[in-house]
Amino acid sequence: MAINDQDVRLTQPTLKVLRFLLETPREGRSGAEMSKATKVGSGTLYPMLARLEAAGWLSSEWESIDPSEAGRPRRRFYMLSGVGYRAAHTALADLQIGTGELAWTS
Amino acid sequence: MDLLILFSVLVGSAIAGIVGNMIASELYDRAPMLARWIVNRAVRHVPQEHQERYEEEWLSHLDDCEGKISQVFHACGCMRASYRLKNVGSSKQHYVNRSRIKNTLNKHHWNGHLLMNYSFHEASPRLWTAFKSFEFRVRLRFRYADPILRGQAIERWLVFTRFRMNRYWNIKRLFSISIRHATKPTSLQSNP
Repeated sequence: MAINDQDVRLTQPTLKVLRFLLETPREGRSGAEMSKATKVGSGTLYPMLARLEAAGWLSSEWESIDPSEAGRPRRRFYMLSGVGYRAAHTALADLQIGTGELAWTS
Repeated sequence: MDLLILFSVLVGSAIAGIVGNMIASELYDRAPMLARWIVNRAVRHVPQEHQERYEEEWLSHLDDCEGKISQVFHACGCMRASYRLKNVGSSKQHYVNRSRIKNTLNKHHWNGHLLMNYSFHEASPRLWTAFKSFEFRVRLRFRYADPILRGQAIERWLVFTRFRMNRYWNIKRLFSISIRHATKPTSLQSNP
């Protein structure tokens, strides 16, 4: 399922998620948290996370609980990898989205 | 007679209201079950090696949803995601409409000649992309290969409208394809 950087489409939802993950780069975030914070629906979020993970921008791990003891399924936590951290920084800096105006780098 | 019709309409709408309310209430109560069922159906469309993972992940997300209606929305999203997950890592993510790009380039006098000049110079144009609503803008900068204008940098904006935002990143690929397929120039003097 590996894909290269060229296939990471930096859409507006992707940038929102990257920005959210950049807020706490060392902390894993679940899909529910990301969806709630960024208002990106599951239909867009999970394929995007899969693409970012396949491109090596994200890593993910299961929540460290025993589902049978907790009585609920485990969450999957996503966090930025080193490559993803740099790429997300570059992408957000280049596009400068969120200021209300387009800003072009020169 | 009119009174009878009016009475019937009133009674009918009252009954319809009560029944509708009961059905809505019943559906609302069963929404979590319905959501769970949709998620389980969605998981079947995910590639087999990832089914177990997404089932657990989506069900945990379902538990984290606030409200029963949002659970159903999440479940419907999972169904959509399951179809899109099939394409992750495959070559189906091409949104190439080469003729459209070429037409736009020609309209701006960016003919194959100029593009090939870029290609001859083997200099990567600095390409910036961004989007605003459904408009897509691209700014390219590269140097003329024309003997007279040689070395002069040109910079142009190209605006593509009605591009879907989630396709904009593929513009790089579109340009590289357009450049690769541009006609070889017959004369270097015909630069715009």
